[in-house]
Amino acid sequence: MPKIARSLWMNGFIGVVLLVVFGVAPGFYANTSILFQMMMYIVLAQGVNVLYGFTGYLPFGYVGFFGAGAYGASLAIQMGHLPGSVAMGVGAMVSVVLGLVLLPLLRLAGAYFAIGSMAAAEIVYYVVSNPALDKVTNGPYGIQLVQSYHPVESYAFMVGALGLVTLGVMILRHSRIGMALLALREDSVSAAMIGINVVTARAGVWLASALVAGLAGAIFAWHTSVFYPTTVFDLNISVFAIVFTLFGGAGTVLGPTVGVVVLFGLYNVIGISSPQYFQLLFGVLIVTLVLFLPNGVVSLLRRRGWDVP
Amino acid sequence: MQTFRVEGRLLRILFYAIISGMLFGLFFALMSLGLNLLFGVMRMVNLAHGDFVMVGAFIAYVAYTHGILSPWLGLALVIVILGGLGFVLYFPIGPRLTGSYDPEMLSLILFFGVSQILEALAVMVFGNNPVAVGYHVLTVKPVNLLGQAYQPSWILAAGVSVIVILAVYGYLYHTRLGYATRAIMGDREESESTGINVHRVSAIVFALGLVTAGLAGVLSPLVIGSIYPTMGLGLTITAFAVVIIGSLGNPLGSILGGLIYGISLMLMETYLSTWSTMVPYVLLLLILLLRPTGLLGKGVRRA
Amino acid sequence: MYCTNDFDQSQDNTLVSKLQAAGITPVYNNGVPTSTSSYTVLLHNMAATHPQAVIELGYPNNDIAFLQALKSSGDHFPMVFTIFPGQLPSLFESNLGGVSSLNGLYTYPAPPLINRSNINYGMSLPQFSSAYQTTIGQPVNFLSVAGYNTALVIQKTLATANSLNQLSLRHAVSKFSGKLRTLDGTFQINSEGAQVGETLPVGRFSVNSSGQLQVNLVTPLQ
Repeated sequence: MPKIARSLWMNGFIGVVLLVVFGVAPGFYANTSILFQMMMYIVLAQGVNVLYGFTGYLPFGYVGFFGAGAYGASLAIQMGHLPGSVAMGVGAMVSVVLGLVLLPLLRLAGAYFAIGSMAAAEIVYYVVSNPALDKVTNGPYGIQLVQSYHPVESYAFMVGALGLVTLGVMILRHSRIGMALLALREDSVSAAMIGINVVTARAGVWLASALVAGLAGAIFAWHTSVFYPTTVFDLNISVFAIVFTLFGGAGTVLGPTVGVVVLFGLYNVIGISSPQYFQLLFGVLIVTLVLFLPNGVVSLLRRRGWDVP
Repeated sequence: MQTFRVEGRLLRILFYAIISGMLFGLFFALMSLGLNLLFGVMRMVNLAHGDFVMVGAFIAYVAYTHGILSPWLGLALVIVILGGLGFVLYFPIGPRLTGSYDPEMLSLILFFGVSQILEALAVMVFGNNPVAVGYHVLTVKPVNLLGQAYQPSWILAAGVSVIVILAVYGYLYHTRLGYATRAIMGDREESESTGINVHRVSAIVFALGLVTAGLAGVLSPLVIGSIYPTMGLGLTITAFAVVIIGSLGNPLGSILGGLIYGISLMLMETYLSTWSTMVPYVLLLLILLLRPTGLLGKGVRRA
Repeated sequence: MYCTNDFDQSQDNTLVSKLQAAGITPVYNNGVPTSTSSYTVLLHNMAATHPQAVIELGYPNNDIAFLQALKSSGDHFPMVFTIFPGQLPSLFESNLGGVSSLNGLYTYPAPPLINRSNINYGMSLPQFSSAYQTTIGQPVNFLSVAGYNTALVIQKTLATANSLNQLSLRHAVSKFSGKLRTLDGTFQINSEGAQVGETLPVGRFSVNSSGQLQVNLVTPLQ
């Protein structure tokens, strides 16, 4: 079997397994909130994966898109009286618009981009939560979406989002643009030679990752239905998504999924009852990873000669 | 007559905000100096910078609870402890990072891990509640300047900050090691080939970066009051703003950045208080986007 | 002055409207971000308006930073109120350097600073204090009282409910709402099932002759 075809097949397999597991799990496991958040983090981690893995931009302010999506969807429900399903699209679009506004950030390199994007996310948070915007966003009082509360439908939407995002990453990874981006992460000079407009391609990936986070935020808002600006603009959301991705291995489909399942699972076992021990473990893991395994745990498989999807 | 008096009051408020902002900003100039040095010399993005400030503050706290009431001894302790720690810590981390394919990005992630470790350990030892270091100077009567009262604690902190920054400036521009340090800032590989022991100099700079952060930590109770294990992240972000506003690699640039940050924060608190904590983020983003090459040097993505 | 979060801003809104209804106009009413840690310049600006009373609404860290700035600024106001010293007096004592710093301050006193006597469920404050001391080995504070109170409400709910489904739990809570009087006051919910905000008593700290902090109620205990 040709290598690409086998890799595609493997990817499809991962996607189907994920959908089946999260689709069926609520029947066996009553704590749907953990399942929901796990899916949410896989979606977010794949968003980070697309951006960091394919373009080298590390978005510390990724949560800005998540919050924008949550607020976009909530306002569509509250003020536009749209049904939840339609509002999800609005939320994702609001996040894409924010991505367009923040396009100039892509001019920044490495650490500057990371810090700049975090500053941008904080600014969005301060604007949304400011009392001056009481009339629109309800300021610091947050959002109540009692009228559209629908835990089952919103759960199903997250399963759908998970499937779509996994499929998207899969396609990107095997597309001409995706491969070119991967090959050219650090070297745009030779980009023009093979006829790919790297700047446009990177902008496209940036907007796609904004869309993903916006969608996750929108579905989170719908599912939770009561939240404060501090909930959806919590920097920890960015941090978690990034660490999960790096732990598993960026630039692959499997890596972020493994990262979320292992680390978020661990977080739920020990992180809630004794957060400081989890934080310590988290820190030690990150330091060890950077020093000894900078390409994530899936790179262990690759070293053994396996082809990691 | 009536309007004159009102204008006088408004002017006094403006003046107070500016002077306080300067004192406040000078402290933040010291607070962010180490971040500047580490990036300038090693291209390391120390995301745990604020946590080292927190460590310095807790060293002062432990000293204080053991009867060492003067901040001067706290400062000396920090130089010994964090200086030693920095020197030792450099060798397992530094060469590996600077030799890697992407030192900036990897150090950012690595130091994020370090920040998590420091925060978790501090919570385990000191708990989550804020604690105070009751330096004597905090109870000294305010100093009168042009009819308005300023806190002696702020004046002391700003004064010590300026002295430390000038000392670092002196090191960089008037000692042999300082010349070597600046040579590495200019071009790492070239300076290595001229016989400079890059790793030894880098280790010293790394230690110096942690020491200046720790010194700011010892002074922090004078300026920002109570200290707590999770104070680091906010300080790191502020330090980034200050470093980026000022100019990279030059300790005097930190003074400029600190002053701009402090004065604009206090003016915002005075005239538009609900937006005040947004100040560092807006300044940071504006400077990054408007002057990416100017104030920062190599801020623009080349590849 | 208030922090711009839901907890503090809603109190500020209520306070300002009630003050205005009573014919009192606030000379300074500004929100600050909850992450504010430096109150020096804010205090100076506030002092420039010569207020008769200063009310700062924040979270514990804000209240501490505010009172520290007030202490070192040398400003004096006839009346100063902050929310949390009454709940966490020892935290404020250690952060402000002793009980004398709290002398004269207005706050919302909470158990164990105040002792409600007419309770009909659970232990009284003295009973709970000694039980807590012997079991945990630490003196009781407001957080432990609040935790105990939560447990009492849950216990009462389980004792009243016929089954564990959501509806019967809700019915159970409605049944004893307004009738349950514990060491932390009367438990009451409204028709939507939200807990009704209690009217907290306002008290003023003073230091007695033996150097201990005590609180004198300014408004009655409900």
